Amino acid sequence: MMLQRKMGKVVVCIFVLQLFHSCLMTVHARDSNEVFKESLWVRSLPSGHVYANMEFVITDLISSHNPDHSRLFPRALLEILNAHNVHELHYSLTQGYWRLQSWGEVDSSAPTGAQISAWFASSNETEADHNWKGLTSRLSGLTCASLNFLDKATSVEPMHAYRPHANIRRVKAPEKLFVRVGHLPRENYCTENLTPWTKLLPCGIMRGISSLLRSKQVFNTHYHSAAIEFYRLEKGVKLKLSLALVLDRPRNPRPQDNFARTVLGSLALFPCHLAKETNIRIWNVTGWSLINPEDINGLKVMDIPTVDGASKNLIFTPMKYMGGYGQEYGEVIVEMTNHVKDKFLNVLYVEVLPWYIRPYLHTLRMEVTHDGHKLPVPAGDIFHYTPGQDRKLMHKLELDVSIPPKSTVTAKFMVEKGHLKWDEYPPDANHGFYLPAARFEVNVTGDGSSKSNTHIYYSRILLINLSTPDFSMPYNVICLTCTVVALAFGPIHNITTKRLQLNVVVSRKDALKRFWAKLSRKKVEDAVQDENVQEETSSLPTATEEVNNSESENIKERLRGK
Amino acid sequence: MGILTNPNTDDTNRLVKLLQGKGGAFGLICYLAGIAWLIFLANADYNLGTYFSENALLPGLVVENFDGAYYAEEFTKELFTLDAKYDGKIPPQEFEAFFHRLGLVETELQNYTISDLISKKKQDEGTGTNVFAVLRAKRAAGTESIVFNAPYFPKNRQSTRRNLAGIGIMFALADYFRHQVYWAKDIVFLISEAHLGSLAWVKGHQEITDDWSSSVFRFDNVHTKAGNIQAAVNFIMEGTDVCSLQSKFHGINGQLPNLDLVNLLNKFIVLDHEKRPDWPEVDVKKLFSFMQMQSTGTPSGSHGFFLKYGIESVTLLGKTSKNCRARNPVSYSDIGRILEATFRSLNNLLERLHQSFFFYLKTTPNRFISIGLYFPPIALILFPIALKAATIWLSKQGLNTTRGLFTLMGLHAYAIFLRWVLNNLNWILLPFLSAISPGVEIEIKSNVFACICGGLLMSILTFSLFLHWNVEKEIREAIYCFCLLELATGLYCLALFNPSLVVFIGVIVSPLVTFLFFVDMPEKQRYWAKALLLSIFVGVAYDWLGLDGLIYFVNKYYYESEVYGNFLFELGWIGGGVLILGVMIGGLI
Repeated sequence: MMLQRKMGKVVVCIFVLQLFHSCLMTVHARDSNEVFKESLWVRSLPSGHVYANMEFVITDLISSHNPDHSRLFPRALLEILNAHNVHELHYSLTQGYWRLQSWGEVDSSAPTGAQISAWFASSNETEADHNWKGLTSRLSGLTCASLNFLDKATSVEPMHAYRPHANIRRVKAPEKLFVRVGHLPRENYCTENLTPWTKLLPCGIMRGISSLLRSKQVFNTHYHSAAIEFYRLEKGVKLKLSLALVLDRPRNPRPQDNFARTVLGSLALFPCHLAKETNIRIWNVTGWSLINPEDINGLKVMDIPTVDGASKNLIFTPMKYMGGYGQEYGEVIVEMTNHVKDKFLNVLYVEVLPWYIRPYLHTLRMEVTHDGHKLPVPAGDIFHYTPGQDRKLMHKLELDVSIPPKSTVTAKFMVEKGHLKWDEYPPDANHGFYLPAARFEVNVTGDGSSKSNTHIYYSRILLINLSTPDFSMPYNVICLTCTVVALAFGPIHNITTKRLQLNVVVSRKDALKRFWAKLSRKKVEDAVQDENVQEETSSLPTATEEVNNSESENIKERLRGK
Repeated sequence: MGILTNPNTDDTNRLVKLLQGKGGAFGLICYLAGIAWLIFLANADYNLGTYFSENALLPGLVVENFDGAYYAEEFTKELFTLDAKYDGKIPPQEFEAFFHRLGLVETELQNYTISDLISKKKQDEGTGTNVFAVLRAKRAAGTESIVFNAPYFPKNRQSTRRNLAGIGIMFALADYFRHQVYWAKDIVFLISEAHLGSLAWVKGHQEITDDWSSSVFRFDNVHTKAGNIQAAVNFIMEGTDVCSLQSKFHGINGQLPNLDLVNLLNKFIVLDHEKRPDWPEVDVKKLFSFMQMQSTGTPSGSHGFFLKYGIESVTLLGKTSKNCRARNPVSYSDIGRILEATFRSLNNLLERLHQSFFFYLKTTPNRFISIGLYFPPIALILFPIALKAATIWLSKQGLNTTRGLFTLMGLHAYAIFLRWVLNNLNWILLPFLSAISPGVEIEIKSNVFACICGGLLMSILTFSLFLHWNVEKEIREAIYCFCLLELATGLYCLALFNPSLVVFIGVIVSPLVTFLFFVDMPEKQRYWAKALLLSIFVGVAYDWLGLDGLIYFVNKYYYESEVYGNFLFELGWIGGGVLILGVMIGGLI
């Protein structure tokens, strides 16, 4: 009886709590329009790898939301974005490079390393720079990436590229929109970057699609790229967090091999109740097929159909590399290839170089190759170049080019590799310096539709060698030796090339003596002449002799005294 | 005081008297001491033991797991069948098919053509095709790479000398490497056709074009790029069975790879044998052969071409002998493990190889002589030249320096003109030569030689005219003094990057220019001495025409200077010719 009564009490308690909780939930839901949707796309790549893309989208459709209150929107991020009037933000941290040639067309491309681009509403340039510095520093703390190194000297303001979203919120008259872009090609992706990223998700890493993530497996991929996108739209705000992974497919999968376990290395997907939708789609050769979130736990590796190499659907491939040898000059060569059979591609090519890689713009040459034949280069509308300044500004080149079908445009220009000060080298100076990736905004033209569908591509980042001092013991020895030689050279040169001459000096003392002699009416003219002829230097030994004499006399006296 | 400007002071007079009296003897002592010191450096007590400067290599932490010896043998057998099928010239597409079979899809073919240096005619052209595949490192963005090069020699007569075994082992390793997860750098598997193929590949990969290469040496650009090349390992098997392994590292003009890379390969070669040979304590012979090799300026393998473009490179050479099969040859799995260990160590690198020595001499694999040790003896060997110049400067009064310098400049200009003539032989001298002797043009290569001899004779004739031209004694002395100074400076500079060549030049030239022409000769004797020297020169020149070996020698260096950039030929032509003759003019006073 007692037990039954107790059980009854517990059940009632639970019921009441449930009721209270659901009331609370509805209250929350009423004062916020935040919607969270998560989705996972899985498909095989032509090379046999598995591509998984996770997307977490939070939208808030209330245009004037309270910045201090949010239910799903990560407040840490929102505060930063509000503080700096950010209207659009793109941040990505990527390890590896999307190999277009073997993996086919990319869904959302990102350059190797960390990249951040933002549009701000500011009243003037100085304020925009101030906002940019603040944004990068604060985001650096939030994402644990070295974004704080992006300041005015390491970021650029593009004129034609990086256009804002079409529905971005307009700004009022005194304020204008400014854009800033920075790229850190050397930034590595570690667990310390993944953890803060997952903390931005409403359900964290324990629930939802992100529960499929295991950091051991994330860092064992061929390519992974985490991104944060933010838009302040006319109506509300939108935040998109995404993570793209290129995973290994088991070499000979058995029929019982579980997809989640063998490919993603996770146990199972646990549902996230905050999500309004959880979409999981798998590419079968004809199109995307939607599967139930519960079914992912039972999904087998065999259920993901492989695709053949012909299905790459390549539109455009960029290639950037450094030609030449030696540590003084080089040539940056960029090859842009159009793979489409019957359409022209309009490409906006953006090249940003650090100040110590000085491009010689007059050497810029463009060539179009089609089937081994050289064609004339179609002139583009845009050619914008801002030269860099040592330690202050990066070099920036934006130009657009139209690539004929099935042909390659090669752009080449010579660069001079500058010299750095010894304290400007990184700790492992002989590793080399990374050049940021070139960006290509590609528009397919000639398909009749006016809808502009811009694809974005990035080239590889480059590792180049600058002239590097030998920061080691022999280097110090050479420095010391050179100093000693330089110090010794002066006196030796003086001694060997200059002749010492006797100089008759009539000093004031002598004039005084003469005057005194005249006064005392002594005939000392001969003696004075003798003294005048004497060299000045000869006074030194006599002086020392005197000292010696007096010293020796002192000693003698002391001896006598004893 | 005033050493340079006032030779009449007491101090200088004393110095001059000392130099005139004892200068020769002092120079001789320095010279002999230098040679003795250099020989002493071959002793283990006077040189250094090798060690790793680059900690990141971590050669001790590598555990080799290569187990594909069976596959290596299978691949080699398959290659020999192909070799028989295609009559000794396996088409590059077959190699490419091999790579595809191993799952390396990023492959490319690169063609190159070398035309004859003199005739520049189509029918004398040689062509070749390089095949390579890139293994992309997981997680890396393709910024760094290592090259694994196994050259293919289809022109060798014996099929076992075509390095098919080497290519077979490389295929087995490529198969093994592909399944490993630890790569941080891309690996390029390259099958270059002959050594020249490696040159074509490096140039094509780095997009190096120059005017010269467009006319004589043409090659395609490499489109599949492999990032910044950190190191290159070349691998050659002299036969299917090898009994000893050797590391080769001499580059063009005496350039050497970083000592860490050489030590790395040596360490694995010796470790794997499990029987560390007792290296001799004193090995003058090895030191001499090292210096001989370095002084020629000829690369001892494909690695020379990588070195030229700043890529550290060595060659692992499997050497065979007569009854090697009976003498327990080195197994393929041992060779594979050596290569695996080398690549994994290089994969560990965080920075380019820069820590260790670039200038060194080697005796045994575990000893080396650093630049700090070998430079003082070289300085001593060359010291008599500078001493002699100083003696002349100090003891002779009223040297006509301006005219002397101008004469010297004239000599140089003349030598440069001759070199230019030689460079443009094909349109200046060839028609002329073929007109006087129609048989000459058959042998293009002996034409080069004939032209060079013609050039040499021309220069000797001009110089002899100059000798007969009555120059004042002061100018002759000035020329002599400046020639000595220039020779000494030039040799000291050369010693920085090719010490061996300088030792050999110094040992011959140093006494020749200082001691032999030390004495003043009367007019008549001088005349006869000149005649004797001229006849020797002319006689040698005619003798050369008859000697195939010397024809080969001159052709080889002409070819190398044009194709690789070996400067020994230029050096011999401009530097040696002018300076020695200049010194002779001055010296035969």
